[in-house]
Amino acid sequence: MSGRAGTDEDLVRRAQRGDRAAFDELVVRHRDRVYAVTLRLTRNPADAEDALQDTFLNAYRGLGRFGGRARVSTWLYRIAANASFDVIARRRVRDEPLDEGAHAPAAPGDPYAQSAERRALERALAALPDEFREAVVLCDIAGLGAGEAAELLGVPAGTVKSRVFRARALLASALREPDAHDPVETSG
Amino acid sequence: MSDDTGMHRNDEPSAAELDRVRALLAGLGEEPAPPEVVVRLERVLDAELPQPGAAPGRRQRRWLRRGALGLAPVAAVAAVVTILVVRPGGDSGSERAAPPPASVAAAESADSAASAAAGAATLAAPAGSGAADAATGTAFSQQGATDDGAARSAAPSPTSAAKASAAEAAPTPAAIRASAIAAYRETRRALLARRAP
Repeated sequence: MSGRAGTDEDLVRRAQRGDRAAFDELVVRHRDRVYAVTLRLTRNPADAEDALQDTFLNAYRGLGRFGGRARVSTWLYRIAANASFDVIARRRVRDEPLDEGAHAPAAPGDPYAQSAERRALERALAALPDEFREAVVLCDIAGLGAGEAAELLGVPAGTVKSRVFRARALLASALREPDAHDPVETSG
Repeated sequence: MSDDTGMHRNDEPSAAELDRVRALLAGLGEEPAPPEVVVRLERVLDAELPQPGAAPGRRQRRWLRRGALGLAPVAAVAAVVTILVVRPGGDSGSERAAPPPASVAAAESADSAASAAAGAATLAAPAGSGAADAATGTAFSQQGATDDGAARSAAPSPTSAAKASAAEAAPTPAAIRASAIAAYRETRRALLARRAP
């Protein structure tokens, strides 16, 4: 990702020298996607918010250890995933289904966000077995490679690829079902 | 952990459906986080992270602290060596040629031990600022580099009454060594405690 303030790598280098504004710019660039990842991993808005905050605090504290071997986004989403797993472990997740009313971060007027298909996807994603959901969130929402996700999850890369494929297939099947496009729309 | 989801072959979605799912998932990552979440995140970062310009100072203090810790053993060893080697012979060449009476030598030994203990106490005192850290580091290097006379000048001189009392006590070299070692240990313990976050 790049912009007027430079690439992510530029921002990290400046932040490593103590430039807080550069770090803030990094936060602005990545906070939405990091939140999307933590929300789908924790399946709980409060836990997701905790994980989001932990992600950027841990990232700032770990700036000195970022050597530039991985992409900044990869580094950040790894921290986000670890923060989510930590939050899950700490609170022993209440295992509630995703509360769409509470979490829906969509901007008003966003047709995609308002669509029944999106809501159906959220429900199907929340209903996936944990290992499938983690794999597909890390690969398809966070954008990690199979190898990176495998390292994070502690399984072989082939297993991650298989889980991602299976997860996508399950989601597609769920979206295909006649009642997938939920009652919220029909009741309105 | 099994990856068998029980999905039958005829349930398998088409490539187009899989692509659609991928696109939808990618879309989830593009959604903005709720504004209240963003506001709370900014608040937490402002509270927890140093403000612009504060980070270098903190880093500098950390390096000073590390430097002080690195010098601590050197300074302590130098102090012990100074006490054990220089003291028995006296402060200057002329005095070395004519050793003082036993009571005076004992008083000076006590003086030296008191000086070492005072130095250790200074170093062990908690320092809450970078300036204090710097002062601590300087104290270490000074103590390591100077002879016992200079070290003594940095510590309060004992009164004549104390000298007389010390002369009566007549500490042995073993006692002096033990005192110096205790001072070194105390210093090291205090610095290690300060290093812990």
